[in-house]
Amino acid sequence: MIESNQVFIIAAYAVTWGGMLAYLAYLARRGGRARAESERMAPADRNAV
Amino acid sequence: MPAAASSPSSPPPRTSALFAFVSFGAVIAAQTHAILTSPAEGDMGHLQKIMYVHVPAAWMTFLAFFVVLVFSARYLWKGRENDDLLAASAAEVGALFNGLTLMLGMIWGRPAWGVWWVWDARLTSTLVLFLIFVGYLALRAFVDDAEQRARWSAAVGAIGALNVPIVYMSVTWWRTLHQPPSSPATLDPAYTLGLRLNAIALLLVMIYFIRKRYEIARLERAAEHAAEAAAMGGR
Repeated sequence: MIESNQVFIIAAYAVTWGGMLAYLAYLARRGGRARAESERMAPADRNAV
Repeated sequence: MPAAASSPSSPPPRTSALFAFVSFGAVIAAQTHAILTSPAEGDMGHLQKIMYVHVPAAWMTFLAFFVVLVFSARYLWKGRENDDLLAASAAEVGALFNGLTLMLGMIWGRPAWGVWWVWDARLTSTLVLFLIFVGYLALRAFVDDAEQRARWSAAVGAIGALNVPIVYMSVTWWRTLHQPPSSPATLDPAYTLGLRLNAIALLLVMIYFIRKRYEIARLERAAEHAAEAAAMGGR
């Protein structure tokens, strides 16, 4: 049986990992978008030059 | 006029993935070591194990906002765009760790103090710090002009980071429910190794996050410059 204190310990570690993994996912999504945008803009950049 | 960001040169994907793997692996190893080896504390019992995530998260918050202070000041001095992007990357990661610190403190406070939140000096000043940097990120999101955005956010970032010593000293300057700062010097030796290992592991994660976020910010800025150049060419 889980003691009441153990629930808080598990919650603390879950929040830590949840926060870090959510930010990692956000970076992956935003990074992918930025790379795609940068590749899309590259020909326009060359044309401008 | 501020110097434009040089063309982004990101580390090879394999190096970045390896750094991520090592950082997150270090957190898993440090947390496993701490959970399995640290004895129950006299007053708090096993609740003490929350310290291994709460205290390093607070330290990373301070460190990230120190990076914001340094690079914001450097931007205001030299006007280099890369300094602005690095300060903004550190601010976002600092806000993440600041939010985690607050949530972990609340999770610890409920069983230890009987309340989720109390308006004492340490908790309130940490919340104010968090709100300042949420405001910093909102400012960056709403100002379109890159130069104005960089200048204003450098000022907010530098002033916001000056709140860090107030947060740190709050438990000394005022009577608070929060205990004095935890550090290897004030802890029972049974817990110091665990705290040090967890702090080092989280430091690696923080460095990885800031590097990655900075790399993305430079790509986005380069695309913005390209769009501006294309618009100028099309006139």
